[in-house]
Amino acid sequence: MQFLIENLAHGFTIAFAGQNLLFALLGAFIGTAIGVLPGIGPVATISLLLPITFGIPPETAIIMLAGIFYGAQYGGSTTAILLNLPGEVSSVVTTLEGYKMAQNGRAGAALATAAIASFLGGTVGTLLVAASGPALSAVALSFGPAEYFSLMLLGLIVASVLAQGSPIKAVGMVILGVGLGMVGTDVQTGQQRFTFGIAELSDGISFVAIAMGMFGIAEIVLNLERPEARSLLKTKVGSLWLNREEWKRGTPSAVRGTLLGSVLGILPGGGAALASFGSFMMERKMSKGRHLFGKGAIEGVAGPEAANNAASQTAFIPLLTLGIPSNAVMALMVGALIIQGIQPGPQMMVQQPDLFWGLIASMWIGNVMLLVINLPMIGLWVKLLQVPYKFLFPAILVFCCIGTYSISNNVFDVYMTIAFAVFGYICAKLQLEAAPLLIGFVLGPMMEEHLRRAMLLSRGDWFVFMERPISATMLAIGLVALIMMLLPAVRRGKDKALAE
Amino acid sequence: MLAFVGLTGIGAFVTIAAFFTGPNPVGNWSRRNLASLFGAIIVSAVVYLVSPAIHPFFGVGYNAVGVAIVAGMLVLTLAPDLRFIALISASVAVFGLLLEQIGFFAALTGTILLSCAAEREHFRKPLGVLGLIVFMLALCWWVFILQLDIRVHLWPTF
Repeated sequence: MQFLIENLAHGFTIAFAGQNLLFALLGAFIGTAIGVLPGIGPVATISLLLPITFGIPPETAIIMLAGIFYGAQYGGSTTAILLNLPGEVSSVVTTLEGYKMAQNGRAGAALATAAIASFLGGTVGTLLVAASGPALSAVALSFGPAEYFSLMLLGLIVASVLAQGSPIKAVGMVILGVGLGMVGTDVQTGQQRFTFGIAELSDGISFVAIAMGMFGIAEIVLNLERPEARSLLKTKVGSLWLNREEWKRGTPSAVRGTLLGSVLGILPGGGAALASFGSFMMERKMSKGRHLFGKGAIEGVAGPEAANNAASQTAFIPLLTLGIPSNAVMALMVGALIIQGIQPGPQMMVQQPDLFWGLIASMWIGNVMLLVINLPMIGLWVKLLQVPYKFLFPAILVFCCIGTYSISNNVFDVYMTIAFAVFGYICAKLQLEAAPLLIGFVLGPMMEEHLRRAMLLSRGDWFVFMERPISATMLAIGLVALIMMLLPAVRRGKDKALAE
Repeated sequence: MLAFVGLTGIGAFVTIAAFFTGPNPVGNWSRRNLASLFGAIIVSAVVYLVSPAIHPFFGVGYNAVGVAIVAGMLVLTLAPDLRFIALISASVAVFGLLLEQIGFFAALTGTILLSCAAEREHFRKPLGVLGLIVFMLALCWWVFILQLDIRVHLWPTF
């Protein structure tokens, strides 16, 4: 306990440093803005801002990028409540009851509920990251290459199984991502793999080109194809104060949402969207006000909003302790850390204490900032919604172009971005999720490294993965998850849950 | 390499077969869409091969690739269902093509102008586009050149 308090105190001194505080505020502000604006999400924004992080210290960079991620979860609820239009996927369910509350003249109360529940979820999630980090890191230090390989394989399988839509398609995208990660120079033999004599590919395909193309530019095209009808709520936002009845009904839902979100956030492929959907389903079945669902039930706002924020914090646990990204945003965080020369994993807490504890402390500070940014400044965000998309998308495009070019000052990456934008567009049309590809791309080279190391240590004996108990357990869980998902009954259940 | 060629061949066959059979979520493969797609591929290939002989500029670096993408994508805009992806891709390619020789400001202007063509409302209110260009040039200059110190020519270099 003392270790935790001491380190958290150290983290707060880092997070309260002027530059870090400023970038946390900037991240929270940008996050809220992109959360409010439909058509641009945290994945695209973080990939857009990756090049900007080169010139700043790693802890400052990660603090800002994390702020964008959890800030987007806060901001997403504003459009969901006022416009019936989710700013983020994780805010989709908030539209159902939040917009109804707004129609009933309780828009202010719905916005306040979302912000307070988000704060609760975010705070508990941060505490969990702080508490579980050291313990998990200690366990992870006993892992050998075989365990790491099996853990990453398990991560990829669970990410595919929990992805939206067909698990077969998700597995296909993961494999393609792993394949793309193989392009470049083999670090052990110096052999060129799939470079076709193109010198620019010898360092591998640019991570930023994939992220910008598939998440940034492809998203612009898809948004242009479905022009949205933004009709701002005509009624006033009204008082932000909750009455006693609303407090009484909303509090247990927020607590339940926090607990569920904290667990689901850790799962690979889970993240904020799964948490908010799960919490909504739970509230509709368990809460006292379940008969009010469809008429503006506060439980339908408090639960999912707490869940998505708790999940967005606990998603950092596998990244910070094991170096494994659980979703596309965390894959971008891995990219940002690697660009800064930091290998995420259990050693990070010891080797980069400023980054590890500074980030955790900044999450809590960021949550306080978001409460201030979101509630008193609601008028500003409503005004931001009036900026037409026709002026936003050329600006986003220009940032994508400059961002991609600035990675290595080479136009080759710009042309690669076009290729991935076209590919991302086709994938979206064919309902192929891009996130598993990005996770596969990041984890692929790491998996290969651990696989080769394990094979070297075992002198080529493949049974090393089955002989070591932790590794064997993880492989068995992965196999069970894969078989379960391929069973028709389980698939039907998942499809039904997603349809609901 | 043989495995790669074999797999690419199978992939190409499946892709072409998919245009004509089964459910078609990518778009309505009308005669016009298909003609534009194949036209774009042919124009891209021809421009890529011929452009370096027309002007030395296209022989430098990846400029031939850039101009081939721009030309191909502009042909693809004739396909009603692929207009947006074509225009947005072309505007990114214009950035790559103009940046190193013609300069940062020209590349940004070209990208914004071409991307704005994707939104028909901009044609009715060109002053809005002009304002956007001026604002973006100032913002990008301040963020990327002044603050982040990205080393790139601002003006044309001949």
